[in-house]
Amino acid sequence: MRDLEDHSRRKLVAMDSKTINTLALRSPWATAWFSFLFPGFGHFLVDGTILSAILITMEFFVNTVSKLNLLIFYTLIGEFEKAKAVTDIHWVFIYITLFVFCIWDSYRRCVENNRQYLLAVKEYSRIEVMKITPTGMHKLDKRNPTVAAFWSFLYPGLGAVYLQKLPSVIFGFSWMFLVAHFSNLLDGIFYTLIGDFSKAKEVLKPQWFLYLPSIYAFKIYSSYVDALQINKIFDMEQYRFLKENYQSCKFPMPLK
Amino acid sequence: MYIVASFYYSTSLEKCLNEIEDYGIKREYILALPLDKKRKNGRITDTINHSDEISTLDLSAFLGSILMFFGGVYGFILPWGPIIWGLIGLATGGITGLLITYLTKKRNFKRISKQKTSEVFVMIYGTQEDTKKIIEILWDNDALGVSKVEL
Repeated sequence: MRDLEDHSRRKLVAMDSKTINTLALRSPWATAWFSFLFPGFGHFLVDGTILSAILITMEFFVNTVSKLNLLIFYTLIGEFEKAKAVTDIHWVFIYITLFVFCIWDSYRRCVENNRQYLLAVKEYSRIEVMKITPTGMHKLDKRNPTVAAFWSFLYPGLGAVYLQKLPSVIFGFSWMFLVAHFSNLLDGIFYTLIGDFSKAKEVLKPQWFLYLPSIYAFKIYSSYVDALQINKIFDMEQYRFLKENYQSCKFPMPLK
Repeated sequence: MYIVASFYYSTSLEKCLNEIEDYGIKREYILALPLDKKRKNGRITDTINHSDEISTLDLSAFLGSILMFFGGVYGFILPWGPIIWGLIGLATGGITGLLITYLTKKRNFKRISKQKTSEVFVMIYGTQEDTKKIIEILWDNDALGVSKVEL
């Protein structure tokens, strides 16, 4: 079977020397929830590609110019007058369209992907174990989901390095650089650690700081579930390998 | 003489089979039985492990993210500042989510931990003299258990 041509119509996994993308069963509700937190994250979870990066960049841009996070912030702490004054109506409407579309579309994609997945596991598509090129190396191997989640918690993007998913690495790092820089996160952490809380509140910028909860939650969750899926694909590949190579009819069975 | 061992799915399993072949046991004399994992009946844990929509981490992610956000917002007016309250929010949400998932799906969690004992059985046919060396190779490559049978 190994040497025959691969006739499967649906693939479970695509891998090159720098990144891996897997079809997976995901919960549509979790996907919709991440789109709600940050339009584009749902797409990232389901498709993990450039498309979601465009949506995320869009959201970053529109949210920042319309000061949407500040609007939410002032509304939640009850300063409604400030909330009205700070927001740029001009841009908020674009955000609403993007927001609703992302929730709907990521839910839809997730349901579609789950259907494709259930069909794809039945097909005998070839799964490659290793890719090596002059610029990189990638091995399908077991990863520990908890370890992936832990590194993502320490610095979003590191979990993706552990799993070797290039798009997540690039976007994880660039979001974190942007957000950590503009929110004064590190200064905030410094003042919090030395106990000067009023100074910490002063330096932190709510507009940028409030991106962090969704980025953290998403990165931890996605690296955990990605690790599980990579392990599952590894198991599947090895299962097939053993069945093909180590079940000879010549094996001397004890009772014949 | 038969030797039976159990393994997880892993690269060390493949390395082990390779070493046994190198030692001189023919491939026909090695039988590997990868076990199918239980599906359908165990409606549980991670979406991805099993074909359902319930995950151990979904609720945690939901509560963790929302509480971290509120921690970040109200941290600006509460005494300790947004960073500490954000982390408190994340931890409280995450742990509460896990606890609720655990309590409501306790039975399933137990079933899963039982399931995770072994994944592959390997049976090797060899002569009496080979046994010692084969068992040594098996243990060196993370076998979960090894047994020797004379039939």
